[in-house]
Amino acid sequence: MINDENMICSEFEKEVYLYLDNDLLTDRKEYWKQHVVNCKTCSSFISEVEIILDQAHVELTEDMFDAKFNAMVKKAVQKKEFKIAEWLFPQGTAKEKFAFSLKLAVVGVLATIAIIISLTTRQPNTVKTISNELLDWEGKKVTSQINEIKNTIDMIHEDNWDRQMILLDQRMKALENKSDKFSFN
Amino acid sequence: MSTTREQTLIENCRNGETTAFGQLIKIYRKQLFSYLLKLCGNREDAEDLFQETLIKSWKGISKYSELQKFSSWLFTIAHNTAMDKLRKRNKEAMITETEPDELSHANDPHKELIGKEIRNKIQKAVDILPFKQKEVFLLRVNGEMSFKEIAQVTNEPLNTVLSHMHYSVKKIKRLLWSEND
Ligand SMILES: [Zn+2]
Repeated sequence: MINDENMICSEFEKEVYLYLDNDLLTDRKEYWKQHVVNCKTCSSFISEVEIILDQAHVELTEDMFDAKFNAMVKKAVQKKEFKIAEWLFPQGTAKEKFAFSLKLAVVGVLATIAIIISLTTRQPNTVKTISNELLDWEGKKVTSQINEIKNTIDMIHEDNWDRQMILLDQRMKALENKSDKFSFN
Repeated sequence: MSTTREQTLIENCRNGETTAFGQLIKIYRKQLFSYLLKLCGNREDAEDLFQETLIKSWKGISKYSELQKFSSWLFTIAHNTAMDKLRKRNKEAMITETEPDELSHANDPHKELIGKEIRNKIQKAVDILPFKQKEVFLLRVNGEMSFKEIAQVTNEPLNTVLSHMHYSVKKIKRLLWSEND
């Protein structure tokens, strides 16, 4: 009998949370309600659980400053837009900000040094030099191409040389005949 | 399920009213922040998680369904955010089920505990609870979630959740009152 009671009580220990949440079926809830009224163990157990839950709630209530909370809300609702100021000076921890500033400073110093070196060092006008060389080279190239074409034409003409010579000969003879006629007159 | 004021604020948030969002979150600010603080153990992480929870809830407010309690919805976001962060950090130490030496804190069992003393003891006991037990206990206490809701949020069977709660309360009880009482 006592063992049965113990079993019922340990059953209640497991169901007590559903009982408190009102998440048990009506019959079951009524059953436990009756049991708790008649059982000293379970009635003290339920009040202990209630004390723990109530006190824990009070103690676990930590808070933050209003200003901090408002800033957090503001950050949460703001639309993400590209802001040059934010890009240059990003939001973050002090450490991150310092690292970013350091990088920015190094890049700035290097850029300044590069500009100073380029301004103080005398250098030939690279644009002009390249341009002249190019012109010279292009001129030589064009001349050699013309020569090549000329040679080719000559070679073609050589093939008809004999024919050309005969024609020339004929024309010369014709001219000679003509001059003879004139001289006889 | 939510109060009329809460419903109005939610509706205003959906219309893009940013001040309504601040007012809405303020209702649960303490509960939410102390939940995160207790769960992760330090203020800096708790604030980061709180901020992330706010960003996610503002973005997701249009998807919130009135079928769920707003606080449960909010705590679900906070809980998932915290779990993601924990997973990323791979803080095994926080998740490892370490058995605390709770009895070393027990004082005279017959001493009557009142107010502040009870709260201090509960605080100490919660701090040293194994992670899963702490998670369930805090969702119940701070999130004011029902155990059915906790089961959904933690993706665990209801019986497992009840068992975690059973053991955490048992440990706290042992610390507060002697078992021999
Ligand atoms: Zn009983």
